[in-house]
Amino acid sequence: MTARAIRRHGRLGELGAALGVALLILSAARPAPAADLHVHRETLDNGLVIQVVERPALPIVSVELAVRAGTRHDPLGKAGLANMVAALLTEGTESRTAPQIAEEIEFVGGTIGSGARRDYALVAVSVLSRDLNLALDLLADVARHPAFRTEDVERVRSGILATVQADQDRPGRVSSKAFGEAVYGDHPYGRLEEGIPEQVRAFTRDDLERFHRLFYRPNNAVLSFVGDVTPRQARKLARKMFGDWEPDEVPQVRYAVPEPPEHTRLIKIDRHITQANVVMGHVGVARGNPDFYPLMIMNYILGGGGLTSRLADDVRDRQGLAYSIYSDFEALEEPGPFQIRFQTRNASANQAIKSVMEEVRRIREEPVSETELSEAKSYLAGSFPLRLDTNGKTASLLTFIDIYGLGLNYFADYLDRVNAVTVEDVQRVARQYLHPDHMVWVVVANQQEADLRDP
Amino acid sequence: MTRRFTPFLATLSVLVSAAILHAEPVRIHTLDNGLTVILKEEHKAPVVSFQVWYGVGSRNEVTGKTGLTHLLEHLMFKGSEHYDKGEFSRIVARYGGTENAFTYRDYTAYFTNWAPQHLPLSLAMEADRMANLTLDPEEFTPELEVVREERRLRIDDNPIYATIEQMYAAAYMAHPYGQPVIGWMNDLKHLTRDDAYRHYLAYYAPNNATIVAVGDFDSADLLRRIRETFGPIPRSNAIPPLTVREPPQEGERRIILRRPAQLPFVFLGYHTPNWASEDSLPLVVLANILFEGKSSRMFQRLMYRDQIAVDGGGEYDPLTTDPELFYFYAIVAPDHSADEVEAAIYEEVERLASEPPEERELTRAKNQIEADFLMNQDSVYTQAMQLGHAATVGAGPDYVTTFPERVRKVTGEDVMRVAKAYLTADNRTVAVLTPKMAEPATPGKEGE
Repeated sequence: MTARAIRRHGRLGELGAALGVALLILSAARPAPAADLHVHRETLDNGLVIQVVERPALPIVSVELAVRAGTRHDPLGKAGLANMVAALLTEGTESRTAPQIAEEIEFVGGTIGSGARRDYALVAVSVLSRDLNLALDLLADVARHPAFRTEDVERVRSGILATVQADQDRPGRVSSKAFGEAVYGDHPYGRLEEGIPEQVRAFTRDDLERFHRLFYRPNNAVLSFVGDVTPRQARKLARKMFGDWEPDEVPQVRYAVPEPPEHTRLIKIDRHITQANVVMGHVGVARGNPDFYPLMIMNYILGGGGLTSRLADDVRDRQGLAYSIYSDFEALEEPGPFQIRFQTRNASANQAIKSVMEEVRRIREEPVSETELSEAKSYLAGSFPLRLDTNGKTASLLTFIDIYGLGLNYFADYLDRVNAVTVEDVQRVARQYLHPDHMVWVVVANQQEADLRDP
Repeated sequence: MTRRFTPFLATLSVLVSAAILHAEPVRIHTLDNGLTVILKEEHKAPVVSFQVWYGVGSRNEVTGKTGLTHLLEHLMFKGSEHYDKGEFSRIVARYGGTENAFTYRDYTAYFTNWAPQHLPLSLAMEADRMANLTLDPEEFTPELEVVREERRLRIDDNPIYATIEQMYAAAYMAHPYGQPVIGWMNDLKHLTRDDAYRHYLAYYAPNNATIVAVGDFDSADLLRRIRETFGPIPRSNAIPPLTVREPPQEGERRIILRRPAQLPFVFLGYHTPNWASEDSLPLVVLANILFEGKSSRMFQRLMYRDQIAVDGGGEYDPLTTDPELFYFYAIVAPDHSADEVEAAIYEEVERLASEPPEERELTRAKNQIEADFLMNQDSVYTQAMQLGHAATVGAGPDYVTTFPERVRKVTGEDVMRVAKAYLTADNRTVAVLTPKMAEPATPGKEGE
């Protein structure tokens, strides 16, 4: 919770936040043309990839180190290990305590943060360019030499477990957890990043060290610089701080993605709340899916396009049933979830679910209009400058492009791929990737008031 | 690994001054109809943030009509003379832009971020809804329902925000800052289309508005276009004045909220002056020392040393029209109590009220404030937000641009003095969320 987050009420506040997540995930799909973004890219001898975008206008730099050590890489029976390792990076190294790390970077007005996503772990720093040496020194130290001291491990573990407990008061988190488990079973994409509390309690220092040793390797990582830094400087610093980081073979991790249910399943969770929190969906697609572009456009029309989507138009604007409603394909290394999410007062849950299902069926059964298609394309094409308008956003995009293997020609190809999508493509992918009769519906609500009808 | 770098002990003042020197100037104009226009060119990316700020917020609402300002904000997207309902959003999306709006205690603001060639559309659409809002009665009822859903989502099903709402209600006895921005649920059931329209006519006038644009445009050209588009909108001579003042607090006030919840939550605040007071700058530095980053005193005490909170911090924002609160919050860790957390907060407050911060701590706070200033310039949206915010609460854009150099003059003694003057037991309001066992969920009466 940030202080700012406490306070503002906006027309799109929560939805904006939710979309922020979706946009981050799809951000690679909204870049500038090649001419606007010159990326310097090279690989050090130990396999560490370096990417640099030079922007000298302001004396500041953002740097991100991404390591393919996300929650997807959690070992069997150790759900939450990747998250805990990532959280511990900035909580003490062999030569620095947690307060020392914080103090060093904050004294010069910079920030450092670390955490795990589904497919990778991230350490990000932001500093004035004159402090770039210090920032890289810290970044390398926390990524390479975390100490996993007992007091730090126990402090972070308690924090994670308390967060899991506090999440039980957040209907959105409760519904996410139930949805993930029902759709993905034991696959790590089905879990919140914190993992499973009983397993988190049992992690040993050896587990943490072993995971770090196996996955945190230069040949499994990418370092991206954006801001007031030249490729030459970046290379020199990267060599100095990461040059002696030893490469090693990294284990390949892959769990089976479960089959969809034979019939739509409804999971009800009873809570003393005023709104039904609804999540509906199923397994979606991987980022490497060749249908990614038509799917992105289909989803934009269905529920991805903020207040202009079909779902928002029907459920929010026409019926006044929800403040926030959206759909999202989270395209990951392996097939990520497709989900539709909204909240509505308990008594209108049935009506809203019915409307959502009508829209899902309609986009499969009827072609979208030429206007809808062209508006989706012009949004996706026109919005890319805003995806790159700060150093931080651009660094995230560079990470994304490398992690998902999109390649630097991706910029040049992007507009062509968006523009090539036809009305027929949209209907084809809607039929292929939306499964209205094989969904999981999770409804966290006052069940007596909601009185849900079976699917 | 050895530590190869000794952090600089000097402040960053030289660097920041250089950055300010090279930055494009902020240009301020007032049109004949009273409209304030703030323009800042920023040519490093082909984007612009165009914003319209109105000097109306929940501060301007009366008993029984809370939530009206925020509801009106929603209705501003439902059509004006030349643009159908939803057309604003559709046009912005079609050209790849993002748009949104937000309402708070002192203001309502609308923004569009997109490519600069679309600025003429921003002007036309914003001017049309400033002067000619339709407010179709057919659109009113479903949108009121949407806002009630928003309240359920943000407050009613969120024990933390419900606690914050009640704390503000207790901290302010006379001033409308005690009313929730989203509105009380019962008020949200009784607001009418005519309420909203009267509110619109009263407050949406050029002499109660500020246009802010930051981005890749030519100021002279944009100003000319703004004059053409907004110049003909007549000023209002009937903007209701607000003279209310909160009387001084003379003793601690306490609020207990008993709800089914996993963990206790503490939210406490002290009445403090706003930007208009010289004391606001030391208060900003004090807040930075207490709350900013993991090296801050609150983080080190609550989450690192004592480990009695899952999350904790606070904020002081001097940019308010009337005096607001300097607040602390903490989610209490399992197996600890709100009392422990409160005691630790008061101990840290007491320490700062009786001895000045360490020199290095003071320097760190100033360095952070100056670095933030530079980093905020990376985003045209953030810059426009800060300028619009400062202008609307009366501080003016200069407040933003001269902020780092004025903060640099704050001394440790100043920080100690304001901690002692304002963070006193008699001047605080404390709200505690006290978990109770959840009863079986049954049909309940909502928000009444």
